[in-house]
Amino acid sequence: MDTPLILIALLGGAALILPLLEIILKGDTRGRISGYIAVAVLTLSLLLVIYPAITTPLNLTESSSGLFRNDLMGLFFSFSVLLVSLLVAASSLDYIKGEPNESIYYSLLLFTSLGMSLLAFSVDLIMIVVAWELMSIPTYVLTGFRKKDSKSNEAALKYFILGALSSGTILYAISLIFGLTGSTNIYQIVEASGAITSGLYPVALLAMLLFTAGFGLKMSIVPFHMWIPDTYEGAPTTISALLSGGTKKAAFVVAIRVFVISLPLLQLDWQLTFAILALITMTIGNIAALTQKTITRLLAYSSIAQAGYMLIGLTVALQTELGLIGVLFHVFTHAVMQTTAFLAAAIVTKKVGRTDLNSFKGLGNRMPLTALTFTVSLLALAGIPPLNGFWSKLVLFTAAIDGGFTWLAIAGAINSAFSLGYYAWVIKRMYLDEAEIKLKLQESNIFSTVLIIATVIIIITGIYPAPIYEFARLAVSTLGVI
Amino acid sequence: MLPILSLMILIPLLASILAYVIGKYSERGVRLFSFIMSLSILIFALLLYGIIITSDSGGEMNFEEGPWAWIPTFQGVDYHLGLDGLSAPLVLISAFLTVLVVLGSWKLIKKRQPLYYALIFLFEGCIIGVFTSLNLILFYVFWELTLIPMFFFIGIWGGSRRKYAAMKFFLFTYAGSLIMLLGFLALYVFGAPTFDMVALSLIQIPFWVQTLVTIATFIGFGVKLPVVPFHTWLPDAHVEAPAPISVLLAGVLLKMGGYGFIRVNLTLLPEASEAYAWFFIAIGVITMFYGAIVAMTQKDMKRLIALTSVNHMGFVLVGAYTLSSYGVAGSIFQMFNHAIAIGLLFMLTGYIHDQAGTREIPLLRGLKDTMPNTATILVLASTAGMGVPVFAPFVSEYMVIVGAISYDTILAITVFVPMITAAYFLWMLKRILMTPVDKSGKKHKDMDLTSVLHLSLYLAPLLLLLIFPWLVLDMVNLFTENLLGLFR
Repeated sequence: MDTPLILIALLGGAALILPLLEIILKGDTRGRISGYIAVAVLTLSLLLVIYPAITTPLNLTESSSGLFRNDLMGLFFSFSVLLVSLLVAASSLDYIKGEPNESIYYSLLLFTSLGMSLLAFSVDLIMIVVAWELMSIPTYVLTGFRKKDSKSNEAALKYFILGALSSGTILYAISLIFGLTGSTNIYQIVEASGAITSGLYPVALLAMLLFTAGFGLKMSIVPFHMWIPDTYEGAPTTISALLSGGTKKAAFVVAIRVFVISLPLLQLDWQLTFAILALITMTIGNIAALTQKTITRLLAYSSIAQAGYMLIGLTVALQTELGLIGVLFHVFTHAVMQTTAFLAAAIVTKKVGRTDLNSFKGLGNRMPLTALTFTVSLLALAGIPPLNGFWSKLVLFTAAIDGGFTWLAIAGAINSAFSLGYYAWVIKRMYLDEAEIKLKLQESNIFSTVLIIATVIIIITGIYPAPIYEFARLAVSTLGVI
Repeated sequence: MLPILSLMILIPLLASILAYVIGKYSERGVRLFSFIMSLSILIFALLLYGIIITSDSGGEMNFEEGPWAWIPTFQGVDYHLGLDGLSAPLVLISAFLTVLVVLGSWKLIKKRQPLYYALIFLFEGCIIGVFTSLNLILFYVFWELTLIPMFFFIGIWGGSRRKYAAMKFFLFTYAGSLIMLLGFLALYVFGAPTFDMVALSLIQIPFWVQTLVTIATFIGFGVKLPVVPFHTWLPDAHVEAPAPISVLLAGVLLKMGGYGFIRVNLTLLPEASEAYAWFFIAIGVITMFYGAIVAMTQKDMKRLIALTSVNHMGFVLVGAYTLSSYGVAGSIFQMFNHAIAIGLLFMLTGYIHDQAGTREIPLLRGLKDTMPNTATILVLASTAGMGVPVFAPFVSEYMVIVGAISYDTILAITVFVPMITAAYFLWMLKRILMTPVDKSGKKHKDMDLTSVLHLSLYLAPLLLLLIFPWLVLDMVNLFTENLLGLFR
């Protein structure tokens, strides 16, 4: 079964049909029906992704097009990002209900999901650019979806300008690589890279640097993180969940394919670079998160810090298999945790009408279920066992020690301890502080369902992490490099 | 065979959910349910304890479950439980204190009872998990989970500075635990690719790895015990926590540190433990003296008792690292006794605060006239606290001192610690009980008979263990002999 091609037909087809509904149907039904279609299509594609991973994990065929590689790595990432898209789409049924252009919203959401999934499978640099744009452009629009809201517009503009810059950087890097190796296929680059003469090393180094900057922008690595807090704050919060849980993860799979597979020749150079980037990303993300006054900005900086943990795994990817397993594992756990946190924040900000942290005071009484799920996701983000965030961090830290970067593991652990400072601070507000307004708030059924499902995933994969770990391990071992 | 130990962990966890559900309907119902449930867990624990002591198998693992792979391809992360002469007394004391805490909460906890009792059982399940885990990762999972109920206990039901204390406690102990986890990971990567404690104890681990891990665990366990540079969270947490929770904090949570030192450091890292014993003993002695001297200056009765705890935990550390049979056995026995004695003292402060409206020593005057029942129990509890030979703490403290002297004669100075302890307890008693009654002040109500009975439940085992110390020591000695076998 050729998963990427099926996904193109399914997600792309649905995404094209949805805008037509905007014309055909009238009134509220437009949004509702397109929402249901989006959820159904995403559920179906999620099943399509899980099915080959469970039934025939080890004898997957090469994709017929040659632009994709239908492997477990792709399946793992598209599984993670489609899960995020599904959670986002389902909660959007409530979140954007009644706003103009609902059908367009879902259509764009499906396009982004398709872009992210294709990115997970791409093994050709040109295809990577195409999928990258397919993923990015809809999110620019989605970020500015509330066209009358100046913050939303500002966020979209900032995101768009920097996003375009990152695409340009990536293209430039690709042109350099093509010049050096004469190919855009990742596996052919590997073969050709042996022939690069030492005089051309600076060029290869420049290409690597440009790739790091280009991907780093989406991966939310410091110093390419400036757009993140503003964009996450201005965008509809469900879209922030998508950006943080989805597009960021898709950038990681590209980074893995490009850095770990195609540029092993320059390993020493990028390893130390990544180690240092990991350190500053974690540290700056956490310190900045500690000083934030609004929940979306806090989660944005926490998301940056979490990218730092993932970079730890990427740093030691060549020394130990655990490194990449850790990245994949954390990609999955972080996707679920961060999405849950953002979605919980979305419903709270919608109901309370404010985003500042003080609006969370006494939430344990005002919205018991949301507060509980939010607490679980925050504890998971902090890495408290037995939630899933603990396991992925455990693997990452083990990998760091195993790969000879003990100092990075220590830095990661200190950062984790530090991050509890602001996560626990939010929990403190919800449960220990008295609310300014005692009034109970109505919790929406759709959000409650989504949050419960996500929380159950957090807890179940925390208590029994073996399947996800095994999935990640097989994905790494069939990657064909280590 | 029945997975007995898993049940010991699972039953409280299930009871936790049930307690919450029942509590939503009836607060009286949840109190009753909690009492019956905790009592049955205690009986269960007693039964296991009885089996181990009658079969003289304290030296080995009983009721072992596993190792069953948790993540099959991540080698060494297993589910593995067992109970031996070190963990059985601690499991018993946790179950025993939980019953007393539930009883003690009937009067003192009025707010959000369903959640409160649910968290009590969550805590009990986790703590039994800590004491029975034989895999470092499983151990760590339970270890960290205990923080969550404790955070809410202090934060929701605590005193006026509860939020500050809860956050400080949470962050302090979490930071310590993470460093401890790094130590475990270093042991895994550089030592042997397994987290299984039994397997690790059979493997010769290079000395430099042992040193590295010892540094990490010193911080992790040291924060919990606590030892002196890491103790600052303790007075705040203990003082702000409601009295029944202080009982759990001092009685059970601190024991996790002592347990960790014996289970992980002494058992898995024998060479490093032997080489750095002088350091740990020095820290232990400093902790003892520091706790005792600082306690003397306190005006808040609860703070005084919290610092007594620091002082007594110093004994545990010193005893363990003397690596002599007296010292190690005394240290385990001390943990057992201290749990009961300190529990009683904290509960008393809770009652006194409830009746008299204050815990400030200068404001509590002439209790012997106004509150004779309270005064009597307070005298008895203090004798237990200071190690007077009417209660069992005397035995354990002097076992540790004998062990310390056998390590180095200079450690005979530890004899002064019980002396200082006695001094501040007696001084406190003098100020609270023997002063003339404050005429202007309002009359305090004395504690009623049920409370007296409740508190006597603490005293009974202490008296029993003075007369029959073998009830604990028989089992502990077998464990100690086995442990010390690693050092010869």
